[in-house]
Amino acid sequence: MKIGIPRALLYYRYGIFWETFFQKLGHETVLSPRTNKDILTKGEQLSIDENCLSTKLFFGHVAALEGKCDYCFVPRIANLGDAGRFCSRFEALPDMCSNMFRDTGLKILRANIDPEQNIPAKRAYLKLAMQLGASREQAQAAYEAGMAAQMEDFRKKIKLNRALLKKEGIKVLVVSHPYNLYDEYIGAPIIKSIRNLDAVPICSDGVDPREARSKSTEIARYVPWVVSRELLGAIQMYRNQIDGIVLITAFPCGPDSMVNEMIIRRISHVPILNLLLDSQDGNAGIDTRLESFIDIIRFRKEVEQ
Amino acid sequence: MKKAYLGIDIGSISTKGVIIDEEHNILASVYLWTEGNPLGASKKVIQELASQIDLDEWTVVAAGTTGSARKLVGAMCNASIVKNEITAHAVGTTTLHPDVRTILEIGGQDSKIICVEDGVAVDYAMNTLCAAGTGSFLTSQARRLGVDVEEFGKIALGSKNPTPIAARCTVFAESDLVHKIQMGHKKEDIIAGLCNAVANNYLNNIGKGKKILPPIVFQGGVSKNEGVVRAFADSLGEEIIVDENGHLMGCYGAAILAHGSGIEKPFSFDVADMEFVTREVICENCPNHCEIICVYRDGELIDSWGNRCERGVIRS
Amino acid sequence: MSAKPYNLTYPQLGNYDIPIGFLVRKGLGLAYTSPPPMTKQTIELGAKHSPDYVCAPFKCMMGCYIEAMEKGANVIIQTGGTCRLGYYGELHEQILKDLGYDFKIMNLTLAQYGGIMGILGGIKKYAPKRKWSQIAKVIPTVAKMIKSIDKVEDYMRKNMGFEDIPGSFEKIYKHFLSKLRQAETTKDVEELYHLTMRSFSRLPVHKPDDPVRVGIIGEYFTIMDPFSNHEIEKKIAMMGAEVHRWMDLSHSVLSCPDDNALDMLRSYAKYDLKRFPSSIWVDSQRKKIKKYVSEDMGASSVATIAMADHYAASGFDGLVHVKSFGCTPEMDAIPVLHNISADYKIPILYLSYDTQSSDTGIETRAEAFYDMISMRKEARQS
Repeated sequence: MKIGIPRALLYYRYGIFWETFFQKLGHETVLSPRTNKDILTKGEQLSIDENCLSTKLFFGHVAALEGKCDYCFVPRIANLGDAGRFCSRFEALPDMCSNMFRDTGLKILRANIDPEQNIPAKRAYLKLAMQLGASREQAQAAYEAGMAAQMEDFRKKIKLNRALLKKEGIKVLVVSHPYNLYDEYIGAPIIKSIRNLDAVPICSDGVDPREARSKSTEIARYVPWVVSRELLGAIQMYRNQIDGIVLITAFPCGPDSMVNEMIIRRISHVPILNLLLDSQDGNAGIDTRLESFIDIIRFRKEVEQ
Repeated sequence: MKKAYLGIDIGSISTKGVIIDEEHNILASVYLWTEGNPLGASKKVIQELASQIDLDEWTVVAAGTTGSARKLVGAMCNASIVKNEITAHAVGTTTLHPDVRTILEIGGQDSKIICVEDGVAVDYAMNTLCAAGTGSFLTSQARRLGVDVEEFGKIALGSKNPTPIAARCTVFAESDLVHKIQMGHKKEDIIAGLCNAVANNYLNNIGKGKKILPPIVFQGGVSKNEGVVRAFADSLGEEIIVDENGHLMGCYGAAILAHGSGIEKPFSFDVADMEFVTREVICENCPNHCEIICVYRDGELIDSWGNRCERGVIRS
Repeated sequence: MSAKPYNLTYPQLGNYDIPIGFLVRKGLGLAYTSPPPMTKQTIELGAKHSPDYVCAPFKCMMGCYIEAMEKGANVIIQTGGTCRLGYYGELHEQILKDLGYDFKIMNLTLAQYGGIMGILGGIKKYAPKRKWSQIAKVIPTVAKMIKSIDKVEDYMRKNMGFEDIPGSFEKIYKHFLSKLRQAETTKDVEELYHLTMRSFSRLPVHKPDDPVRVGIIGEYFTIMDPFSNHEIEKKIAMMGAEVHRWMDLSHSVLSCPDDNALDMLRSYAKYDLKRFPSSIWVDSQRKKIKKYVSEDMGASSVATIAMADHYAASGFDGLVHVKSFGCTPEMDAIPVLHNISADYKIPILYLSYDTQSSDTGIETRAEAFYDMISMRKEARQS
């Protein structure tokens, strides 16, 4: 069977797990292409206008899989138990998709992950595998292979960040949800710009998530969201090794609307640039702002020396 | 004497008026700029309407007003009915185009969509957030580009490669536009891009979740812009009907509603010669500080509104 | 601060400051300050000191806290919730402290207290000498107050648009509220409630057999707070409509919608704070909308969809969906509402409020919506 995976939102957190898991079960996975103009346009057409750019892109990616797969995989991931919740959007995605694509031929493959309601991830994935015809042993093996690949990827990212931190030059921690950081239409151009300005961009997701979540309480104690906790944790863990922080937010992200305010109020001594993105076409002036931000850091450093 | 009905649509940019007979035929019509003076513009409209018909043959038995200054002008001309512009447009358009299924409208401040079935409006939506993608937005961008907004459509049609512009929000759109100009994009491409942005923004926002079925009528000030008309036609893959009397639909609808109301109130063309003054009173009874508008005719208070509660009532 | 006795406050939400104040004063034995009724100034104050694009309820509450503290409150109460509401407390506290206010916060979020026992302990901290029995004793009165308010308002929404004497409903309602503030016992509340309903039923009305019926659905805070939604219910009712709204405190936290006693008992027994406030109704409502939705979509979205489906199936003439701008769970319900609107051919007016919303804008939209559904109804009947 061909299983489509939209290259958006939680793909950037769990994508490697998903691909390994399905492949191990003997299915073919089809990934939507990297974000392009068509995907953005389609996403904007499908989604209600108030949604964040990241969500609009997600629907564009789902649409890009129409006719290319037997099922499109859209899980419901509500929370990770004690590790925190996800933005409620991730609870709603499968039902949003089934309603938005109701009149098309697209079929949605669901999984329901909700440890707070006694459905931990492992149980949800094993159930899914068995629905797809696997035996318990096969399901178990696929799950474990997926987890191993995921862990390996985490380790790679952490190692990369360690190496980057040793580099000479201005180091900027780029703090954003992974689905923003790596998307061609959101974070990727910003990271490239930072590099072009001879600074070293360091991505906020290159941390051990568990450690980051526990560190996050040193900045703010009661943040309910998993990803926000990890972003805060990354700031806490790296704050003494970096020269500046760039926050990237897709307007009007719910968690960011509050957590970024907290970051700005509670993190002093490190310069922070807050970039609010609406649509790719509206990114005018971001380069200018990045350039002056890096300049200011550079001048400050020179004065200090 | 035969009965006639008057309708006036006072928008932020233009003021329109018609007089119709009992069969809803248009006897007289006027269109002029509001120029920030709704009362003055309405008086002029009334004067000009009077000059277009034979006052010995027709007598206006009911007046209706619509548009953003409908209350103010309604008080001035003793209107039988004061209706919001959405209803007035729907009634006007469905009377002239009984088979219409979708009415797209972009005016000075508002944009809206009306879905019609068997001549009755069954669904509608209106812009929720800001003025992005409306007439006033296009006018201010035209000024920035040093182009007359009336020229916009023609210039846009000359573009082969429209520049993408983000127009969801005025603030984002303006900074994007300035950036694109500085980057060296051609003026006609930017203008065409703006026209596309207006149409696509409209479809992505107001048109979301609505079935846009033909025949489609496009009206409001922006419908005079061929660039936006073409963008709609391209996006929807349907013919877009722009009625040359499209700008009159609101006042036409108001006149029909005045007729339909069954309320006959004497209307005199002399109002054009009377003095109407408005005064703004800030109610100090609570921190809401409601701004209450009082309307005076020849020095006498005839109406007031704007108070949220009884504490702010001002009586004549 | 320690020298000053505690003086609690909770933001305005409709008229629920009456039962909340009663609970604090009679149950905890502490002083309670109601924030002044919200005005434009409250909103401006709140917006000025809040992040730009946070949802409107955050800004309203911020304004209420500031105004209540100016009146003498020194402990602010914040509740939890499954959406952004779950993080209001810590950020409110930070911003207000940065503004220089000296206060404590009773932040009833799960992230802070873990479970129900933790939360109860957190409340008790402010009234250490109070016995649990003393606190528990006032609960029935508080519940009765909430139910009375909800039932009285429900009757108003359905009938006030057809009153013969302008303002007659409003007059009785105002009297009810002022008397309710003075109520001391469950009996007082009960008597007042019956008196009010009797007065209502005696008012002359001209309600047609088949009136225009409108259902209001949407986000938890904005739907329950008339100031935040620019009195949308009253506006539409007064045009001549029977306005229905299911969402209120009685339905969302007190009474379980299950049809039989056993299911009801089971729902109460399973009461799950992690799903507050949807715990008691989310499962039973989800069963009713299987056609559209398989899972809980977060916060109040399931109620929005379930009630939309219910009103549409009952032949209502229109629905009004209210939410604050950017409210994620309610945005996520919209694709489903689009389908309900198409399937039942029922128009839905979508209103997205922020602190800049103008009354004229809301009024124009509501008026046009009412015109449309009433004309459509006429056309159908003839």
